[in-house]
Amino acid sequence: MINRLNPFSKSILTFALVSACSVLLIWLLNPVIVPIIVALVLYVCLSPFHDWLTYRGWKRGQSALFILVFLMFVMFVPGTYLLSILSEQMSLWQSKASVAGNSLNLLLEQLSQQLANWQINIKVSQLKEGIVNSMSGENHSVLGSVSQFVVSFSTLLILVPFITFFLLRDFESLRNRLLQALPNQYFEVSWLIYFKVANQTEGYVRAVLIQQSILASVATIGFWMAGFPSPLILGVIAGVLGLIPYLGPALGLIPPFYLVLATQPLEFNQMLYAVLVIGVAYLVDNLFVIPFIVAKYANLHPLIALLGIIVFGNFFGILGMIAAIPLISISNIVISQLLLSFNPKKFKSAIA
Amino acid sequence: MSSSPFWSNLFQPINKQRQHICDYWLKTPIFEEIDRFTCQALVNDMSIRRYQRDEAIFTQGEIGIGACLILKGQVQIRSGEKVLATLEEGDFFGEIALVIESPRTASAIGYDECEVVFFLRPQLDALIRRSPKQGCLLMQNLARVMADRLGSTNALLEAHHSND
Repeated sequence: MINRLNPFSKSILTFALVSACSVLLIWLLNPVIVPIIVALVLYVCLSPFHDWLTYRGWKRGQSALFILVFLMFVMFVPGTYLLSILSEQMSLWQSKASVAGNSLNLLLEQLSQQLANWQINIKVSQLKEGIVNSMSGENHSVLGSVSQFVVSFSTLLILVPFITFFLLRDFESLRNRLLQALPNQYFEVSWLIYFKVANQTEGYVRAVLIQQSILASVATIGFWMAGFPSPLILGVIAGVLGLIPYLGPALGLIPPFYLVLATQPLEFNQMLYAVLVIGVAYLVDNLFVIPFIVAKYANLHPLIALLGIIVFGNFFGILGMIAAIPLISISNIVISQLLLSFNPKKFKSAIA
Repeated sequence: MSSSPFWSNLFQPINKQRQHICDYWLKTPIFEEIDRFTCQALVNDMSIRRYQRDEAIFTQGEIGIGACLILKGQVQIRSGEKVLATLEEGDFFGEIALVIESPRTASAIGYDECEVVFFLRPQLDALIRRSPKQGCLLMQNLARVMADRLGSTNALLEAHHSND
């Protein structure tokens, strides 16, 4: 029956089927989805090294084991060190929550008075309650989630190397088995789509990791030069938050602002320095890193990207916002490749 | 159940045939002077597919992704209804797709129940990245094969024009 459909309907139906299977798989893997995603990212980063070893005569298992030991060393030793610094810093920040809350209170009072002078009536008191509660309220939502993150981070440290090991050792044979199960009719087109999607995704992941490392480094140096405490943590947070398109810069300002508010007496010029540091980091990112490293792997129209981020963010939160651009790019490749494959007459005009 | 290509494609034994396939490829002009180790590494990732009589391996106009080598049975190469060639065990076809992403110039149809192994373009790309020397050699061989085929096509065309 599917063969009777026109190429467009056939492509959309196939895409819907593939998407439904992917969503089902993600739903089934939900409890371990974060370690799997992190392991996949590591797999993408380590697979060239693994390929290099296997191509020089190492067995796949041996090569994967060597990389696992290396990874354990790289992740475990600095990871636990980083974790202890992070926990220490978080408890320090948490202890300053009431000071920061009071400073924010004072600031918002002043803002409220200023707005009233300008005849602008905004209910700053409600805004104030919301922010102060989220910082120092009973549920400690911001800092509480950071503490939860520290716990999940420990789980990640244990699970991720093992998943990465099995991915390095068996991913290709699993992929071959899976694609082998497809009917003969769809064999070539499936490989074609798989390779295009894999190339695009691998390139995007590597490019984004390089981008975020540069962003974090520039921000760390900036925070260090501006005299902020724990510049490395602030820089790393700015780099990680930079994964969220469009909102990243604003979110990256929250931790340094929090630190400024938690310091007595209040130094407003530090807030300006924070804006300057984040501004310079994103300027470097937008002028030099994105055009040369990331652009060729995410050539989406800005409007589509923005809409995608809003929609995915609405359904899946921050993870959805981070995944929006690669997922839209993948969908774009799959649909266009299906259309070309089901309607080969279009092929010549498409490559012309 | 065992005669269905779906089930035999799904439950085929891995690595049993691989050395045998490597021998086949090494006899082709594409793998001339390529070392066995490289060939075996490529073969380990190749996909073996089974086709029934009159089943299309690929169809003219479809986008191709790799070359095929016949392991068992016979394959007919057709352009429209015209039969261009009948290939047998050890022969290869579809090598243009190894070099460029273009529509297949002819259809390949199973003349009887057959088994073919696919050598895909991304595998060649990976070989060029991992071992440039062997990759260049393979590309050179491919260019030679295609130049030979172009020469034969030109000779056929010339003969056709002189008959007119």
